[in-house]
Amino acid sequence: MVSLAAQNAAAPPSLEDAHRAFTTVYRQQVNAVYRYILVRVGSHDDAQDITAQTFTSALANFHAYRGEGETAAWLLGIARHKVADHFRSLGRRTVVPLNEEITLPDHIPEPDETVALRLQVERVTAALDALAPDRAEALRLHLFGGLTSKEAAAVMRKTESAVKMLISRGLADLRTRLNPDMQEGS
Amino acid sequence: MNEHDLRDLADRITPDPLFIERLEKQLKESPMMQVSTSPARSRWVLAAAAAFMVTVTVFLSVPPLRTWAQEVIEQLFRPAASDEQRIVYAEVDVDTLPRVYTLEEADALAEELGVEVLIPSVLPDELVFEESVYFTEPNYISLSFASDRWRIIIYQSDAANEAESSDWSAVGASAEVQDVPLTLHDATTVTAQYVQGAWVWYPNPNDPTPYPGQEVDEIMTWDPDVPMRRLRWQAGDIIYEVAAHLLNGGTVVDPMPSVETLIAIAEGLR
Repeated sequence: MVSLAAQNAAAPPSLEDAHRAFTTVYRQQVNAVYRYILVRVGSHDDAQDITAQTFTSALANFHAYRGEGETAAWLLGIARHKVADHFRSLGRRTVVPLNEEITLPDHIPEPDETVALRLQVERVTAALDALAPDRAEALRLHLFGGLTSKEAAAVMRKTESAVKMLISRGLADLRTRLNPDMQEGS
Repeated sequence: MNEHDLRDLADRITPDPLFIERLEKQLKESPMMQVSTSPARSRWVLAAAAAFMVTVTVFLSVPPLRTWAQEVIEQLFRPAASDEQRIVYAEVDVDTLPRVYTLEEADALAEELGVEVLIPSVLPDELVFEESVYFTEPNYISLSFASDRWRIIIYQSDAANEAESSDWSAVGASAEVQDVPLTLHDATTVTAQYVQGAWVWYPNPNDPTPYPGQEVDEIMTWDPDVPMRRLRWQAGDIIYEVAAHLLNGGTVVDPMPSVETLIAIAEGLR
């Protein structure tokens, strides 16, 4: 059976309305979507690509979106699928032989602050990757994707109390990994 | 580093402003932003991850599945008792399913899984292979091909298995099911069935869109005007289907593959 949803036939939005509404959603959510994707994939270039894919898919399905308070969860649900596709595609990437000529961009020095931030993100991303997957995902959605525990629960298809527990335990694990000298609870 | 530090770090992560600006411009210029304003049936959308990604339990209008399992062999599309039925389903989490992105990989996947998959030798030029997904509840393989306007899904499933666990064959009581003769690649002839339309639901505009995997409990209505066309036949123990549907809110008045195109695709499977 096909599951099809039809939107309210009475009042189809105008093109201008749709433009305005999607642009608002985009501007409100793009940072959170990007942050979540960045701590999943660890690379700014990949995060940009996947962010673009996420919003392109969201746009294609925007006429199905009707929620008011669930926008971030809806977008991060799409982002999770795009990240999964990204990791699947890694095995199929073309490998460029070392002796093939590659044009490298000119070196652009990064300010110290940017370098420090990048290193911090790398460190946190690596620590998250080392956690139990569900704990890491709950933390990424909550802390970086900006979702409430209820929204994260909907995205992860778990109960809210389960996600609260994952976040709590994940934070304890993460603290231990990022501050190896500090024992949990200290 | 504690929760406060992590939140502070998150706040400091911002994408490149040029990227943000460029993407916003790109999205505004996207043809997908051209929302259909057709007055006929407004817009419809595939709410599931794809047309064939649902497992459905029917509570009303359908006889016990055992009876149905016998009937499905004789009747490829089975009219329900009415044009309305309540369904509960959960979209399959596609991340957990074997999925490949080239026809060669689809062939290899089918071999690995011990099933035979037929590949189309006839397809409209504009269609590009999207993916093949192997589903486990019930067991079936789908191959999808799409243009920017419409998609063809070729569906191959064990008949008995499908009849036991899915009501994919159910159509509305008012659906016009036509018999269509097919000559298959091995020169055998079968009688296929063709139908236009789909089950749709009209959710409360204030409800959030279901997430993949979320259980949906809805009253669905059979709508013959939904731009979805299906050709279904059985060969041996396998049920095959070629389905075409428009993308992005198309309506039944938009150009889409004719029944002759579906027949050509079906007869070209080998």
